[in-house]
Amino acid sequence: MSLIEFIKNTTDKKKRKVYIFLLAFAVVLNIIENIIPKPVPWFRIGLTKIALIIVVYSFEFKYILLFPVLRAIVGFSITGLLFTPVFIWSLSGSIVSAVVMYIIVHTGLNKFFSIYGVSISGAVFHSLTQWLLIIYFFNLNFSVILPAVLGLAVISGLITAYIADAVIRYRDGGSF
Amino acid sequence: MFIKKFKSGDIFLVIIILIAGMYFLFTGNLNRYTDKEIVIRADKKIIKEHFSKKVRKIKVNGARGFSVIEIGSNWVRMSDSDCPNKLCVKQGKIYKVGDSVICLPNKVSITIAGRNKKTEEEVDAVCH
Repeated sequence: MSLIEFIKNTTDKKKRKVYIFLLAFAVVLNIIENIIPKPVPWFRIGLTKIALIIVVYSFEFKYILLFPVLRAIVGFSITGLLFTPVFIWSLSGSIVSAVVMYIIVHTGLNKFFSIYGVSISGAVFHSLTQWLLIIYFFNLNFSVILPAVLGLAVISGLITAYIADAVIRYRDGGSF
Repeated sequence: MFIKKFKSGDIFLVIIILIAGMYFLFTGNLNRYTDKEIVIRADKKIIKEHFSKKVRKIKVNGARGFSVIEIGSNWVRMSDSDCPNKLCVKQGKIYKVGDSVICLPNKVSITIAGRNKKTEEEVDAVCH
């Protein structure tokens, strides 16, 4: 039994427990991500998307929309960057990617996309949102880095989807 | 391997994104500057020149003496200068927008400036 089926079939109380667990998981991933060195400036793997993918697959829309907000507030108050521009970019990017992933997973498109497609589209929309916000904030022509943004988003989407897939399949009768 | 888990839509999505990336790589960047010009600053004077098919030489006077600047179809270089260590001459040709040759003793500098006629965008400083 995969983690998604477990969450869908369990009681409401346990669902809430799993939700909080995933939130804590995302915050820890956020901290781990800050430790990983970044050879390309601004390029982050987006490890917190692992938790977001699991939430998107197994919860209702309001929980999906709430997840990035809670994750950003808790995670950024730990790293001490709450309400900085970085916070706003991160928050808006993950909200947009959560909505996009929800649309793909919970409408008819689910037939055509596996977890990899969902993750890649989420990563691409996350990056595009941040790209647009940077243009809006700094008012400069940033089309130079658009190919790099798209290419790196595909790579990071593949990495997060691979890990999320492993996490979903790993669970066989742990205790929540 | 994870490729085996791909459904048709995933492959389609990746191909679309990569094609879009390629498109922006080959169109967005190359047409960024419709116009290039060479800005020569020689001891407080500013001279603007354009690239020309035929190689030509310009002689300017700096703080110390003369400087000979050679302009080609898409490059520009300092071919001779009246300075002690000739670093500006040894630097060779420059091609790209934003590149520059600077001769400090003679107070002469050559910069390639770009301009986009559509958006009237001029690069003067980019800082990250």
